[in-house]
Amino acid sequence: MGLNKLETEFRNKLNNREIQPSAHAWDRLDALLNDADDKKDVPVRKLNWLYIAAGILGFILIASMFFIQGKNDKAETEVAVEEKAPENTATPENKLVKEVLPAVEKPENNQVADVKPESKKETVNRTQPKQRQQLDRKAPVQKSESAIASTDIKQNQSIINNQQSIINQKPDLEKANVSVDELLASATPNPQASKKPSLKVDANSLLSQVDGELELSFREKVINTVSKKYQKVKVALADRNLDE
Amino acid sequence: MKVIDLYQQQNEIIALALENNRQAQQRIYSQYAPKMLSVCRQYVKDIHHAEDLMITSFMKVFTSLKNFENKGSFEGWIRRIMINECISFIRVQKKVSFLEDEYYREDTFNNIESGFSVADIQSLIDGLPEGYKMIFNLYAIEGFKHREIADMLGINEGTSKSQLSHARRILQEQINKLKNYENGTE
Repeated sequence: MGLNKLETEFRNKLNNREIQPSAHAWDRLDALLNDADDKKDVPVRKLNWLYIAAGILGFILIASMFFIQGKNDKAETEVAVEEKAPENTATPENKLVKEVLPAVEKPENNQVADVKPESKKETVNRTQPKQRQQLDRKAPVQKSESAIASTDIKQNQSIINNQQSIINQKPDLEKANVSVDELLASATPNPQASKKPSLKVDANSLLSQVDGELELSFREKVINTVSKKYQKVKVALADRNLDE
Repeated sequence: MKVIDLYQQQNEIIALALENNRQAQQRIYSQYAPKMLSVCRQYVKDIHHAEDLMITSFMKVFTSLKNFENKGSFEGWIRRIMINECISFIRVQKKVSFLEDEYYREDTFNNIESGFSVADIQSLIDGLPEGYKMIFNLYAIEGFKHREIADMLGINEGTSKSQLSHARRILQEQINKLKNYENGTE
């Protein structure tokens, strides 16, 4: 069922036909195109504003999260310092004490071990218990002193040297010809010495200061440095005034 | 050389129109509007409606210019947009529906040239019912195959053939009447 001559004639004549549109046809099309352009532009502008607003909101959220987190971290670090403080009270002196203590305590344990058989003897000889107890206590101490002296002299000297360099409160230990007894006496836990408030306070403050410096933020560091400088200047001025 | 120059010139104009250059768009419109209004007029009897359809179709041409892939002729692409717009308009406004009629017979059309003017030919086509006219235009004037018409209109291929057969029969009757009237026999 192909095209016949008549249909081909129709086709040729209609395809070659041209009808001029009205004069306003282009104006109408132009107006439609302008409207389409405006519609295109409006969503883009709206989207741009939306993107800008979303960006600002996101920035504010991130900033607020950052500051809140910073505050929480600060609080956590403060708590952590407070918790660690008792554990880290091992100041150089305390370390020294702890290191020396086992050496001293071990003989004391031996002393207990030695005491036990003699306590059995006490059951036999109950006539002079106080004297025997005194004797028994003295003997193990002497033994322990000799044991410590033979094994830990070098170690104690190095520890004491460290102690001297850090604390500088026991200048007598610097001397090389210090006797073993004096060394032990200085190293053994002296309740009176350990109760010195200045030493304890210094150790804690040193530790907390070190921890604080490690975890301080930049702002706090600046504030601390400024306050330190201010204190130095204040002290220097006060000294100068006193000299005058 | 001239053909190549014209092709390059057309591509440049299309590229400018794609960038929303109004002058380039106007040049395209001025070049193709008369032919496209003729195409629209084939399908729609009212010239004002035809012009409206042409303007709407040109809007689609300029807004979907990025889809033109230079595979066929630019004129053919615009023409296809015009035809689709006209078909949509007729199917919506005229509420044309195609009856599933696969019965058709091969009519013997007068295999001679009529010598009618374009206006007479258009008036003959306008006298056809909308469905027949659409199929006749698509097949005889635009050169689509029945398979393509069936896909375009969402009908069976047989329906397209039967509609064309009915259109041809009516046209033959009208041509015979007109010729008899011209010869003075009627």
